[in-house]
Amino acid sequence: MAESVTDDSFYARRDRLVALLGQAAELEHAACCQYLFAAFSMRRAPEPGRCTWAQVEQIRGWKTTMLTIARMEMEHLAIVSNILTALGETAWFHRPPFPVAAGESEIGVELSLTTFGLDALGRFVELEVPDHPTDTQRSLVDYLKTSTLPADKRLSAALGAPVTAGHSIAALYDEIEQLVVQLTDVSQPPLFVGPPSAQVDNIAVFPSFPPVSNNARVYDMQITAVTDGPSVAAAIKQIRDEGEGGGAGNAAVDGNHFHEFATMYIALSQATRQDPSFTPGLPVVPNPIVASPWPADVAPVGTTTVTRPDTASALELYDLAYDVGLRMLARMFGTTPETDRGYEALVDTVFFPMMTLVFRPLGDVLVDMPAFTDPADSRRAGPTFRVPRDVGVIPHSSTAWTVLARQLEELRDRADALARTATFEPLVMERLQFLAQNLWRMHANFASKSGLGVEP
Amino acid sequence: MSAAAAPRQVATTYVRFAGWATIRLPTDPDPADEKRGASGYTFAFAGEPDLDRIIRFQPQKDPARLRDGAPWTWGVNVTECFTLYPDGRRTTHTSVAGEQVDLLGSPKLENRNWLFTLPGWEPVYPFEICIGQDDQTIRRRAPLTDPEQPIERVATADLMAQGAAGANMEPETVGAATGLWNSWLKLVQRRDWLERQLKTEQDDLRRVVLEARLRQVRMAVATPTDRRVMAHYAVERFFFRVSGPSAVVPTSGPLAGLDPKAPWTISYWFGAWDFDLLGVYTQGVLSIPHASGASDAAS
Repeated sequence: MAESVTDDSFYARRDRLVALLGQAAELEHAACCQYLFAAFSMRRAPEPGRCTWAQVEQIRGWKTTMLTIARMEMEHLAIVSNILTALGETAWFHRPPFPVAAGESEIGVELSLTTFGLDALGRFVELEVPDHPTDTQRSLVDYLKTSTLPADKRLSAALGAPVTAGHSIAALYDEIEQLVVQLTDVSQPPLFVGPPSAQVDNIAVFPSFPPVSNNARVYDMQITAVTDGPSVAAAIKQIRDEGEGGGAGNAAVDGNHFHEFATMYIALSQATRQDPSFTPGLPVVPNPIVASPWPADVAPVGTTTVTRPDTASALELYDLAYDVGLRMLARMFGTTPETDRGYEALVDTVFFPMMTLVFRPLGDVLVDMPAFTDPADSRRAGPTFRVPRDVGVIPHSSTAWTVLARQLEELRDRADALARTATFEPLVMERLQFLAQNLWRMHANFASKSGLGVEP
Repeated sequence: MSAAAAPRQVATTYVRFAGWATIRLPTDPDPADEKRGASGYTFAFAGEPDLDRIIRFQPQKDPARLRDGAPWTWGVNVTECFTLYPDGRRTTHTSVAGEQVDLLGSPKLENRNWLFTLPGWEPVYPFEICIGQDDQTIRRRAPLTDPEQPIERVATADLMAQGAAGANMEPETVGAATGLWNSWLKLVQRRDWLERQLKTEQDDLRRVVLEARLRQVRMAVATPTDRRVMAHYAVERFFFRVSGPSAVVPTSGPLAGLDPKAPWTISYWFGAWDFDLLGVYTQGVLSIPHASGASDAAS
């Protein structure tokens, strides 16, 4: 984390606040991707010598929790984006590519896409651990101290290591809160200059059936609008209560992310002690990428280049979908409904179709695809979550619709080609064909609603 | 359906039907093609086949996809069949009562995570109804468009023309049709039944399934306003023409004289959704005009 600035001016402290919000956005975004990757990699069927049906049911419960937490990280990213918008800044969807070594991470925790297991879960516990020891944390540490499992040693050491002051998600939000209080003092210039109508909340995101309000959670999400100091404080409290279980000095509350991950970790560790062959995650390669078309590019350290051609095409499809999805989100947070005739088209494409008909099913099916052409190599692929070069707001409205529609068109055509030419097992092909149908419709709907085409 | 043309002065046969069907479908926010269930409240548990969204009007014919514990008999059947004549006469066809009603072609509710329509407004696609058997079969398809297009390319207006008219809470409709007036109480009784089964079940795999079902039912019982409980009262109503080109109608017997070319109409509803058994109750009527000049048929 950058050194605190010593310049006391409003503008220096505001710059610091914006920088920290950018870091918060990157961390929430990275957390979400890691949790999704782990969820996709979880076994859905038994395999002799690795997983029984009873264990599959246990894994399913963990997958439900993991996906819930991933959705809540999306909610946190949305809230941070709202705070940036309220300050008159643009939402921030950039983040470093995976993997990020612990020593290079702002909070000293490795950020990496790996299959579900004690290693991944341990990192998730570290990501969400509160700064001040809670009863749950103490019980987890006590449990780990008694473990003879080699896999438990890493987390035990990590939780026991001294925490570098100011280098945690908790410290990050502490400083954000303090800066907002300072900057909203009556002696300061106005801090919140963004248009309130640009705030994205539950009603903006979720369709009107069933009727939703901003006071109720919808699929575990409650996206909070912010317009002033008190609403920012309430929003940050919400993030911290849900994540680490409260701010400084607060006891952890059941259901927060740290508590859920710690509980899950203990359960998996115990299950592994009882059955050392239990392998809850599929053999998904860590940090998968697609080979760059430019010979001079070298694969980043810690990544795995997927080389089977049709699997690589599927990964590129995911990359493109992710690109489009992020650009649409950037546009959504960077505009207002009354000034942008295509706002409804954005919302109707991103919530829910892109999430539930593209990201989730394609992620689920990528882990069923072989990563390499050697039939003896059972390792599988997974989404890369590669952030595109530019996820800023496309500034001109009519250009934005043309570009986004064109990207959806490319997505549609690539999905159609993959569904016709790939040679995966039947269930995978069935899902790819379903995906292709839905992308056809998504493009047509978007083109119609943004005024570029005829309604299907 | 257009009301511009006056109805022809021909006899019309009404085939009323009702019963319990299954729809093994994932629920929001799981993807429409989710096979096992994760984020919603419906699941394919250990050893069970994948969720497939197919509406089965005769689920008892596929026991591998049917869970135990239903307090009802599965299957949709004709409850009454009669013909009304232009002169006001009515003839009841008692031999048709009890015939099986089926939907062919692996039909599904097609909203696809709100992509095609909002939930509650989606069509059943493909829609091909089949009643009876052998030479007394009545069968016809209701294509969404003419000529038929792949569903993802069908205009929204055409999807909704055959879609439900929303999903509304109708406790009286559901209670009167099924005898199940209190969803929460039904689930309390289900919980008790599952617990009794678990006490005596010896098979490991079946125990895993019972435990998983019990977890979900207990969640529902603990929260009476949960969607698992409240969805029981939601009713989706459909009303549209059935006018596909290749209708099959009996040429002899009590249902001789049905017109295979004129549009038929169907009106039906789904309700009483049971998330544990993946079951739904349906009730409806298929209205079939007679061909001009067809004579009366004995019941």
